Amino acid sequence: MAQHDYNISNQSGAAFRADLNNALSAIVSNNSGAVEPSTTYAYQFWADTTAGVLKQRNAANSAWVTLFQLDGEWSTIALENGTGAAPSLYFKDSGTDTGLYSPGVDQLGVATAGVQRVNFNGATEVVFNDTGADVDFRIEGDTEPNLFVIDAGTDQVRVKNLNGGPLAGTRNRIINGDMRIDQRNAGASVNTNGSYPVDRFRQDFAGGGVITAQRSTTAPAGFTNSVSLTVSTADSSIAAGDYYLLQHRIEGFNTADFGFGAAGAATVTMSFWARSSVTGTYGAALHNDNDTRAYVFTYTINAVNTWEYKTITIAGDTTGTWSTGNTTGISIIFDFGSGTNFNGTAGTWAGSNVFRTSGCVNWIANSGATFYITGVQLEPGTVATLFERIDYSESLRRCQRYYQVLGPSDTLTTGATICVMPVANTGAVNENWGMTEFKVSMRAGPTVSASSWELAGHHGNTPIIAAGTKYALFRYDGSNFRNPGGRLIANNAQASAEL
Amino acid sequence: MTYQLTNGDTILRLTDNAFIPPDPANTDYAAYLAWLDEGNTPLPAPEPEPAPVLTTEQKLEAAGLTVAELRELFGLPAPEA
Repeated sequence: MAQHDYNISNQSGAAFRADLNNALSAIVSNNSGAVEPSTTYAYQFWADTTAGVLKQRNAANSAWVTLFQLDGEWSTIALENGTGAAPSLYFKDSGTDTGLYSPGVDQLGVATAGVQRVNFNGATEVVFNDTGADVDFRIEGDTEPNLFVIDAGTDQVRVKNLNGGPLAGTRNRIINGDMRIDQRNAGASVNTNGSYPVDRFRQDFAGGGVITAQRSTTAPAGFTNSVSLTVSTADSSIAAGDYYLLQHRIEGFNTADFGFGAAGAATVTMSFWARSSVTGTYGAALHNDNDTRAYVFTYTINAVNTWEYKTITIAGDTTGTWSTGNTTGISIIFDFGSGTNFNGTAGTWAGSNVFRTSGCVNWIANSGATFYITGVQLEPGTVATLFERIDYSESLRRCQRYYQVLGPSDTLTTGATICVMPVANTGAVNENWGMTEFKVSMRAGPTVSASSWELAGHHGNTPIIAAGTKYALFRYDGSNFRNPGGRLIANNAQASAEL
Repeated sequence: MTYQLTNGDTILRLTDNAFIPPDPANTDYAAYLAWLDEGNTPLPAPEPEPAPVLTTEQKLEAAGLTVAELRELFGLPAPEA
């Protein structure tokens, strides 16, 4: 370290030589020292060994400007603001019009070929193409070169997929997952095996217990309905083959794109809201049509009578037989206490009819216990997206593919006019036909029933009924029905093509 | 569960008077087939009523003709009062 005032005084030869050497030492060491030189000059260097930086005196000789660290690294560099056409920092091979600059206060711009491409604007935004230039923005995937593209020239955004599924259309493969549609009961309760508390959701149970289920207005924020289940008769001694379930069956046409049963089967994600008076671990499963493939998953109710949002991501099954037609593609089973015959292992595909684990709660054993569920969604991909909202009429239409009320109403009605029977029967033929067209083409030829039928003037007689997917035919045979010429009226007439 | 054949191609489920079409995708029909496999037999279809024997007047009525119109058609004299 050496410093000098750069003033050689009149002195003897030896002293002069020593003073000169000191001055030269100060020059070659850039006036290095722990403190600044006692005498300073404009543009003078000072290697500040205390701060470890090289400094230079400003033009006014009033302050030091820090240049860089003495270990060779820069601490701070002050550049002029620059412009898009002449960035402050440019790179040799790209020319002086490609580099970084500051378009304004607290802004960092990136320019190429003299045009701003990106502006990092303070703490508020990052703007691409701020100057309206036709510059595309593109993100490549592992194998997909255009995973995400903004085409500035055409003002288009292009995205390959959303969470691994389609961008729009039907993400949720569950019909009536928000439990709004209840054609059969209009909110009334049901408590028999095989009954539907709301459309598309069926309760199945076998054992000494009884569950009363119905559409409820108890629902989490954003929903108006749920299905409520109440233990009306408890089963505290569940036999090995007993079961208590709520099921939803999805038609194979609507899950064919998942590709289950072969390599490359899609990963899917289940999500739903649940609330129970009984805490603990609950079981559920995805099954194929004939219950020879099953994926058991569990979820936990942490707090009593509190809505909780549950999600589970499931790698698709690469084996087994999975329907892709108008029979069951995937069935979703929620368990509420079943026998040991149905215990499996969670988190893996199995070749047996299982839908719970040995550690699951037996909710059915608690008299008066309640369980609510809504917002049920099954979608492709690994992300549980927000529940897909479907227009009410569209949701009803989807339900009517599987079940519909015959007559002028959308709920079961007494005295509903189904059709008008023909007036002109020649008398030579004993068959009298009437026809009604279904509101929606049904999944399969439906089962048609009513609590009673009435043909004008012929009370209590049941017609012979034949039904395809588009319409139902009603036929009265015999001379008693010649020239019926009136309305065919039914109480609670319905057509069911449920899975 | 009891079933009855009908004079159509449907099956009548007697527990709820439901008519089940012979559609392989109909789960009720699948249940009926399973019921048959268990060795059960449905009730026979009701005997269809034989075609009626119509009177001449009924035949005319079905054709939309009256006796007077028929007489006029064939140039027959009206019966004496």
